[in-house]
Amino acid sequence: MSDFGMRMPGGRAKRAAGVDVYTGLMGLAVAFLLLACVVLYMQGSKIGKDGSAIGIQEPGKIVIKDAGKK
Amino acid sequence: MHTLTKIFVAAAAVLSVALATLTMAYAVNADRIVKELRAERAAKEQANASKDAAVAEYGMQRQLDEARVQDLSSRLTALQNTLVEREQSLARSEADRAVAQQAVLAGQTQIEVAQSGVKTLTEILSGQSTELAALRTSELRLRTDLREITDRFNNTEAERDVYASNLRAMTERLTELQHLLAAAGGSTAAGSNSGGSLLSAYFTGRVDEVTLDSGSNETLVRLNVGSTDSVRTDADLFVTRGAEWIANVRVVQVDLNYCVARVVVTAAGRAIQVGDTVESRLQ
Repeated sequence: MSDFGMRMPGGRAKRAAGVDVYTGLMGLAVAFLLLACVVLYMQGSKIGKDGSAIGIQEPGKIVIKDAGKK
Repeated sequence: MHTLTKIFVAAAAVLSVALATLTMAYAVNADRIVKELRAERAAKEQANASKDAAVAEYGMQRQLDEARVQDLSSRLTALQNTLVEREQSLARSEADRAVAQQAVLAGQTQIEVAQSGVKTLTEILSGQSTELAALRTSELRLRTDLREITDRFNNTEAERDVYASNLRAMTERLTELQHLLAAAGGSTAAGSNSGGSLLSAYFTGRVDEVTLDSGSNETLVRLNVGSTDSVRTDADLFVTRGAEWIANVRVVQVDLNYCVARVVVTAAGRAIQVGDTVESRLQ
């Protein structure tokens, strides 16, 4: 029953978890994932259809936004 | 697990999904762009090949054009030479034309003179034509008068012939009446000539044929004299041979140019033969 979070009489009181190394690693992973997402979005916007990072180009009808700009 | 860790895990999950989505889209777009790039490169190479062929063709065409330009240049030079010659010829022609114009002016003057002469001749011819028409009319009238006069002359000739015939007939009738009157007076009576008469006009003829009439048993002769020689029926004619009298014949039938007579009396021992002479009177 304790698995369901029920406090059973006589049960030992659960101690709150603290910030550990895993929390730091997850934070770092989240930061890098966020950076990767930003970079990939920017690069994908360059080759995506109509400047959209998630737009799929149609075969034979490749359209790149601002292709004429240098 | 700490709440912050949970939050990081959830954020990592969301970011992983987003990253996966972006990665797939990027990969697909990159692949298609690469394919398009390759196709464009192939097209570019093909275009370059076509360009090279066109350039080569252009070079050949240019060489041909240059040769044509040279040919045209030579022809232009020849044409310019011809043009110069033509200009010189034109100048000569202009001079000739000026001379010809002067000749034309002189000819026009002569033509005017000739026209005036023709006009005069035309007037003369017109007058002569009028006179010729009048002369022809007069000639026609004269010919008509001549024809009328000829007709009158012919009529007069015919009348004269008729009158002459009548006169001759009347003269013969008068002679016959005189003979009859003499016979009625009893001065002459010949048994062998009874019923016959002598002709006043003298003529000679010839015996053409001698036949014997079986019906009357009389000798008939055909003579080459007729009514045109004043022979008439019952006239007595004399047949001679040279200076010898042969026989007397009496006309029984008369035609214009011959007559038939029967033998009245014959000299002793003589007979009429073809070719004997016949006379109206004995000389």
